[in-house]
Amino acid sequence: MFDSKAEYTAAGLRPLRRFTPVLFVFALALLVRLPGLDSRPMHTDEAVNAFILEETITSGTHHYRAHDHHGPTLYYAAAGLLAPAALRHAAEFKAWHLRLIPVLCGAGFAAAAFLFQPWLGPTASCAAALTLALAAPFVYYSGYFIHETLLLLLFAGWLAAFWRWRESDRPGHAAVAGLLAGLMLATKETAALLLGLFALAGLVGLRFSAPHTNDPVRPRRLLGLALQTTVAFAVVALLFSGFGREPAGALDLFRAIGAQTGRGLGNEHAYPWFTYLRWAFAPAPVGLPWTAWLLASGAAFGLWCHRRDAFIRWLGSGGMLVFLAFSALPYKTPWLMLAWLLPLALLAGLGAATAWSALSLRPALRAAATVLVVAWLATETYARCVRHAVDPGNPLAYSPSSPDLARLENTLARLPDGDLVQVVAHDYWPLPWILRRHTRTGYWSEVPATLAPGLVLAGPEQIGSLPVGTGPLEPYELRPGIFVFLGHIPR
Amino acid sequence: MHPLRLALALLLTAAPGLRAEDQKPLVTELPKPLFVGTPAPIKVANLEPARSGARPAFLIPAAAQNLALKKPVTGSDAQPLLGDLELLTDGDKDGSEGSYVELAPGTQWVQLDLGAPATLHALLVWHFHAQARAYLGVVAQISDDPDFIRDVTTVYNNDVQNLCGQGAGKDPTYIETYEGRLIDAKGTRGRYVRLYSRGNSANSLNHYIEIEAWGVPAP
Repeated sequence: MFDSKAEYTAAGLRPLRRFTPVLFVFALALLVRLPGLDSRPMHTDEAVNAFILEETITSGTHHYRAHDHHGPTLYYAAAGLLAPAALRHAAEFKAWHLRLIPVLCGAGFAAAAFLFQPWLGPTASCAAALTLALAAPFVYYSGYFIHETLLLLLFAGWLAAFWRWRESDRPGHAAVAGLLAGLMLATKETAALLLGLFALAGLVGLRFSAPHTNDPVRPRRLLGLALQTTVAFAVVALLFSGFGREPAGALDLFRAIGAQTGRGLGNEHAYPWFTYLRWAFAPAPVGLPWTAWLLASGAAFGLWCHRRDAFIRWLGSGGMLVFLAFSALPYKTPWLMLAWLLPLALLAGLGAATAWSALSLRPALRAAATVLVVAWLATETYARCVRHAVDPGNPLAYSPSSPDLARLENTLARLPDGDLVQVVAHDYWPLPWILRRHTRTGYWSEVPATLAPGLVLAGPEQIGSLPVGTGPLEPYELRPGIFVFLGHIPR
Repeated sequence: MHPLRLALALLLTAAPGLRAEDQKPLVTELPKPLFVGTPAPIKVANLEPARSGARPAFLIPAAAQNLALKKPVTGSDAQPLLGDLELLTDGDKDGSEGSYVELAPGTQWVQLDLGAPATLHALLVWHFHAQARAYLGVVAQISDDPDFIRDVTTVYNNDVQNLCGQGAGKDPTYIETYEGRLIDAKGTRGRYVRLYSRGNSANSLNHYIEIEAWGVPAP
């Protein structure tokens, strides 16, 4: 589309001026994400990740659990960030300590939109960056200590690096793309789908391109692909083996293929194929999702106007393949939407820039339109990410932890240090986060033969098995519809 | 050696082992939490928000008593899948198997015959509390007509979509707990109490552990 490098050079932008928008977007994204970072109750996944982080820090390596958990990069990154403060144990962590990583990644992928400037142009990449900085889904999950925003940052980097390599065929670019692909795979297993589907889209795109300029079987290109694959696998092996300390773990990711495939196709978090459309586009009790509609219409317009451009076609077809594949898989969670919302946001930026230049508005009108759209996005973001952040009617809030946990935390804070707390429930997360500073806490899924005098937090299924004399029992909500009951076992 | 001397010798030998500086508090390691995956949400329409604190006291006349205890029960499913209908009024509110009756999937009802008309002030209903779940289409009615055709008063209805055919209700869906659901009967007069349900958030089956009907026999 754009004769990118020529245009870029012709602009004659000096380095400082070039980086000003990047820094501005990064700062803006931080400004949106940082306030109230502690206020949202810790989600179960965050609480579990906090304890996996503690295990990673104290043991010096990460133990991969193939079924329910993901790769080591998030924990290594968080450990590195917390190291200067000498924070090692869950009892020392605060929610904002852990959420700094997704916040930085969230601000990072917003700024990373400028990596696409050579193919999208400066206005489009700026519009895309603003969208990624402000739009509700991107902001919401930037406040969760889960793997998604780190994956998205790496994914954005890989998209740019892969296309740069495809244009240049230079080994250096192939190595960078391979490095980012390896980091993606070591972050979350869904990376394999993203990489595979975008590679497929790239190959199909090449197949229909002019054969003399884009021959997919050129030896140099095959060598580049081989280099990327080698680097990616080396990164995976290095990280999964704990930087070589546990060589047996190097192949853990590949051993998990069966378990992960079964998970994706199984009954866990299984929803109908149209669920992502419903989550993203359907009116919800917390309001209409303007962002998704804005992104979809902007992306469709941008894609249509620039359909002859190879990069745009690749981005569009890759994003569409990801959306279709994720919709076809029974396993769905709302944060997985980010993987196809990212290309949609980039294309929407292109659509906005195209409309921008076509309308030829006066500068004042342009500024007013920008302010209007930004305010529109910000309003939805405030509603979904702040005001209704843990409302079950918010499609972005998936099994959110209840604000009622703060009440339980206050009750437990009054306990004398060293008092015994016995948790007896089938479903007790994120209680370990609430109880992380209570050293004498035990967890059982069934009532043990004897319960010692002290506090007991029992699930509804265990109430009938508590010793006579326990009580009165006070209910506390863990998540919408999930309760534990606090009682006292007398001496 | 004399047994007393032997005991004294052993005590002296063992004594250094009991000195304070050689002792330490016994610390047992408590079971750690097991890591879990992302929990699946319970998605139920019109779900009641969490109650903060204990259930507020509900005042009834001093003369009121549980008129349902040991009273006959009938229902739409005469041959339950588990248990029998007598369990509903046997006074046992335990959540374990053997204390509840399991009725067939779909819309089902159970009916209590209090033996004589009464002024009812509260119903307490335990469907199932061994797991966090919400029962759907919960409708509670009181009438003097055993067929519930005439003079039927509905005192609770969370059947938003009118799946049970008793009219759409606006009362909230709630998560079952060991406390049972307290339904304000508002002093309704009647001899019979009927409860509908249509499956629950975990499966399509219907369960009851106990039903209490607190009131005063009509003069």
